Amino acid sequence: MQLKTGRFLATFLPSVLLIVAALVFSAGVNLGTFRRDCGDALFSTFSVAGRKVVTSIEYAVKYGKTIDNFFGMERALNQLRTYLPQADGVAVALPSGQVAYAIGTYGFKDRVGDRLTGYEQRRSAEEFKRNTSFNYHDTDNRSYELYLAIRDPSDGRWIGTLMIAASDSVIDDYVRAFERHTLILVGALGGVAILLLGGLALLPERRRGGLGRPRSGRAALTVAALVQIAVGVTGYGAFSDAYLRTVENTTGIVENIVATDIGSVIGRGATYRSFSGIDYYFREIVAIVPHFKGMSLAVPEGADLSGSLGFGQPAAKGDLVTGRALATDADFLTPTLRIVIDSDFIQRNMLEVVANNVTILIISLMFIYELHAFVSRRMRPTVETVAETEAVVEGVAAAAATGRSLAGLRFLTFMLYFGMFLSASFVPVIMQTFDRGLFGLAPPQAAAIPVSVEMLCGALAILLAGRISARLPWRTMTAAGLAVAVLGALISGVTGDPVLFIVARGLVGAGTMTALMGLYRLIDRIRRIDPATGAYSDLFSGMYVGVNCGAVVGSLLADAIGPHAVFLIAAVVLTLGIAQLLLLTPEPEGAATIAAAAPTVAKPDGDTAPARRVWSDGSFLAFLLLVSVPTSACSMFLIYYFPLFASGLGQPASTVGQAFLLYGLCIVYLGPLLSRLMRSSNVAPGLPVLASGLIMAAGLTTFALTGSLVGAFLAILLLGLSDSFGLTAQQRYLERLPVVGTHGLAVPQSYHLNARKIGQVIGPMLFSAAAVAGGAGATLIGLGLAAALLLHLGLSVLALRRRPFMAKTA
Amino acid sequence: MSRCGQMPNRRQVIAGAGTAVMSALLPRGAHAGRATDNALLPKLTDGRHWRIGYAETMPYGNYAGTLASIVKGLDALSWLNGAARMPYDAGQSDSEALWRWLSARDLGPRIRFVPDGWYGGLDQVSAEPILQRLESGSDIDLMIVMGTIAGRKLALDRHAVPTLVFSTTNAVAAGIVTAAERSGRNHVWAHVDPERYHRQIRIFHESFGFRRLGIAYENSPAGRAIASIADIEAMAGQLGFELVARHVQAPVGSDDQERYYADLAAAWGDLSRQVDAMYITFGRWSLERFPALVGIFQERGIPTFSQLGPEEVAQGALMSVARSDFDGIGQFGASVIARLANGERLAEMRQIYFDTPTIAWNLAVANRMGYRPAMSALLAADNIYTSLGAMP
Repeated sequence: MQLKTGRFLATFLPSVLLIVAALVFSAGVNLGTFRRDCGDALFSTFSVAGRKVVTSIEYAVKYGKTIDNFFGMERALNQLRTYLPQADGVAVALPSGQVAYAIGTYGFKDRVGDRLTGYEQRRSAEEFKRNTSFNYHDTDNRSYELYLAIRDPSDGRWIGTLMIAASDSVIDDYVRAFERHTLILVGALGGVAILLLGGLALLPERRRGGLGRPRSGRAALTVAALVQIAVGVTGYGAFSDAYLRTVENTTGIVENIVATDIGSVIGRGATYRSFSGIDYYFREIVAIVPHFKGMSLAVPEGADLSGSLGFGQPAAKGDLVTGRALATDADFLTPTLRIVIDSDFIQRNMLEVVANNVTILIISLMFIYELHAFVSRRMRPTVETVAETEAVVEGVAAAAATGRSLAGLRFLTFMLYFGMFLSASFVPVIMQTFDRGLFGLAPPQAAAIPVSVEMLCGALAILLAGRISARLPWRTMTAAGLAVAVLGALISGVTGDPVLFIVARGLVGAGTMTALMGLYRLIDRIRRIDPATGAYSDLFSGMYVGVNCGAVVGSLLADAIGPHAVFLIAAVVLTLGIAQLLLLTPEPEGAATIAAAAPTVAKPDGDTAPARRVWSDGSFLAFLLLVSVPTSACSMFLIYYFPLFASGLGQPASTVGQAFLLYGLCIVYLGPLLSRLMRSSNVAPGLPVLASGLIMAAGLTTFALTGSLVGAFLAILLLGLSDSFGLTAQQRYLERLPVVGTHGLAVPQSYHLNARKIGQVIGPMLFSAAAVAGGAGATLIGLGLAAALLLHLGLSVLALRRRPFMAKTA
Repeated sequence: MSRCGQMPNRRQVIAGAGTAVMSALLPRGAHAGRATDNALLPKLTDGRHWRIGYAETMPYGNYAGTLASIVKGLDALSWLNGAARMPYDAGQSDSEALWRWLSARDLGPRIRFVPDGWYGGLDQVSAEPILQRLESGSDIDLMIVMGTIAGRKLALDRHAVPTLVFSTTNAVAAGIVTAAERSGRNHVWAHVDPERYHRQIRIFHESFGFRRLGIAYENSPAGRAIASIADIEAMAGQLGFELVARHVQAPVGSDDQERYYADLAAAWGDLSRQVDAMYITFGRWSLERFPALVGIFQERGIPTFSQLGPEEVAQGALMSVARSDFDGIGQFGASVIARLANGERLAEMRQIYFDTPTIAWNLAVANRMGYRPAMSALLAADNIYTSLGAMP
């Protein structure tokens, strides 16, 4: 009985934990995203009304008014506040940061004459060099704030800032219903799921070919995935409703603005016949509101208003046309304002909503899959079910332990990158929050420094870790790296000093890369025992899931609780990583397998005293220069070139996120599959390296030939496909190079990782040049990559003839 | 137009404590009218009282309005009290009545308006008696002077009494001060807004794109200074239009006024046949006579721009961009007096102050001309008039 209960609990409890974790993550991401979408919708509405007021101010400036002494500004701001009842405060500040006019007191300083914060001033100065507006959630003051540049129409000079603020309570009101609905749904689904899993756990074990309890892990995964899909589908309804409500709100506000504007002119004695330029007036509005296709005045038959009465396109089939009666003038003429709403635009945006929801869903599923992979691999059945002989028992036990090591490796990599990428979206922005300058550097330069320092320290840590890996056990190295990263994350979260912040980011970079090198050393250990293991693909899978989940969750959390708190959460995640490392990641067990299956581990690390420096080995150098650097540089298509390309096409930032996700999915799910195929086919490691490079080159050429967004996505798919097995293939190829035999694996591996970092630096330069050259540029890069790989192949073949020893390698 | 929305805010600015920082940081001279700092408040230990005199070129609404606003500004800065009941109504041109009220009351120990210290009509009469009184240095410590002509007559080195000159079109061109930023003279200071007319011409040109702009003025140093001809000529060169000028001798006395109107009507009639647009410079006409004079341009579809401001737009000019009210300049002037009384040197004080401009259109004039202003222009307008004023 006790055994049965124990088995039930052992099966049931992890499933419950999985469901709970999955639901918490899914609900959290959904709620966070919905809150952010509501914030965006609010800003979008504010932006339309704000821009209209900015246009009026700029027009008056053209007529000689000065922003610091603007007769009628209070009237304009009062009117703006009437348009936007959600706004608690509107104000105008001078470029010096001084608030010159203010209506309402929330979100800004209470009185005219107060100043914006140093961060707000610096960010305004920086943003308005390129953009017309920006917004942010001020977590300290719990307010949503929109900043719009006011420019001198004569020379485009920034002369002031219109600011609109709303307290968090506005968003709380929007979100409350969705929050309640989601929590009820999640609770209900979770309850049903747990009951279902409990029932499944009570079923007898499935016998071969018979009926019974399915594998508990898979059942839990399936149930959790279904629950997440259910949450996602219901979330879509709320998201699309929110978008449509924004469209409706914005249209209503614009109708109010036009009615008020026209009322103010008509109310002062003008008639519709007495002024012109209504088409120009409408044109300015249509340019501000993306879902407007056209605007016009409809007048009763017989009214002879001369000139153009509208701007934009007429309504097409399916377009929505709104109508609103305007003020009656002294001639008793009452025109109607007609706004044509572009149904195609709405549909495109609804598709965007669908795509965003699918993105959220996939990320949630990736998260739950990682949990599942970790839990299920740790619980995989061991000796008692299959034991036959002592030798087999030992072998199976060792395999199980190695499997648990692999599970630990993957999940630890996930935790490491999750913690590291929580802050990825805002580290550069943090530099602007420090009131103290950084050695007089311009904001863009200062913003780049923490990232650069993080990368540099990471690169140095990789080199150092490569050198000392022979003397340091992998676990110690990983734990030390994580501890340093925790320290860095903690300091990042609490410091108010830019120099200390940069030091902290350096610690994070050094710590995470040291930890990563420790994990590479774990892979060495595992591969010595089981050369056919898919450890590298596990590592890369954990890495990319961590990157995707970390970036998404980090940016949502930063919006909700502020970036400094996110650093602290990152520290907690990395600390949990240490706990997992010490408690749930066992040493791989078993004897080292020699020779044929693992040829490159002939000499363990540190056993050699190399006479020559590592880079003086020709084949290794050729590998770095012709494989590591070029493939890594080409991978920057996704990270560097695609965001610029998509932005140039007017695509939203979410498109870039979807591209990253597509690439990540290839790495995470295709990677292990293709790597396994590669291992089982027993092809020489050089061939997958060549194949992956050629696929990458084909991807770039495909993009160059099409030059479209679809072509770019196809290229990214091919890049993902290439990297999914290419990264592992490169590692396996590296292991078989002669240099590993003489120097051990750690040092060459550190050079390989750093060569890839160099490629990441060269990549943006190459793609910048390619952008200048047009479509041919990407083709040239692709051809260059193919040429480098073929040259490498040629050199390898040549080396083979000289050194028959290498035959097995190639 | 909502002025009530404007006033509390300005008062708040003026009275707001702790905004000294703002004063230091605001660009140009704008801050002087918007902030209060300790340098502007009376020193408790200083028991001196200032005896103030006043002189003006002629009865004119701008002069009375500026004087009343300076007094209000001094009240807000605690240099005097009880000015709230001052007998001043918007548009009032009689400054003498205002002066009588001010000099008859005890407004506090620091400032006294000298009962016989008011002088008017300096465009007609000699300034010699005032100069002699100032030379004696016996009973006036500070002169407030309104208008270019009065300023030219009184801002002389024959005396050392601090003289503040307001309501000039161009105090530098008139020779009252040597530069726009600082006066360059120990006892003379003048309010300067060097961009005001540049702005007006630029806006007028942007609105109508004229090639020949008409102007009429008295061809004398004072007349050129009053009309700010140097600024207009500079803008003509810059924007590439031709100036078509007619010269009209200003009236030398009330008996000469009809001759002046006749000459002016002839000059404007002549110009209306030769120009694309008319810039109506400051003149010596009464607002009652203005609609009849300006009608010729309306009939011929010539757009007119008033250098003076909305008063003339209400009476038949098509448009203007001018100051909104006298509050800003009054506060600026009061701050200069306060600094002077607190020991700062007049020669070192800033003179530039940009008054808050307002935009005015007359749609009745536009209709008569067959012109339809743009909707956006009307939206930016602060004053829209729909009648032709007191047309005969």
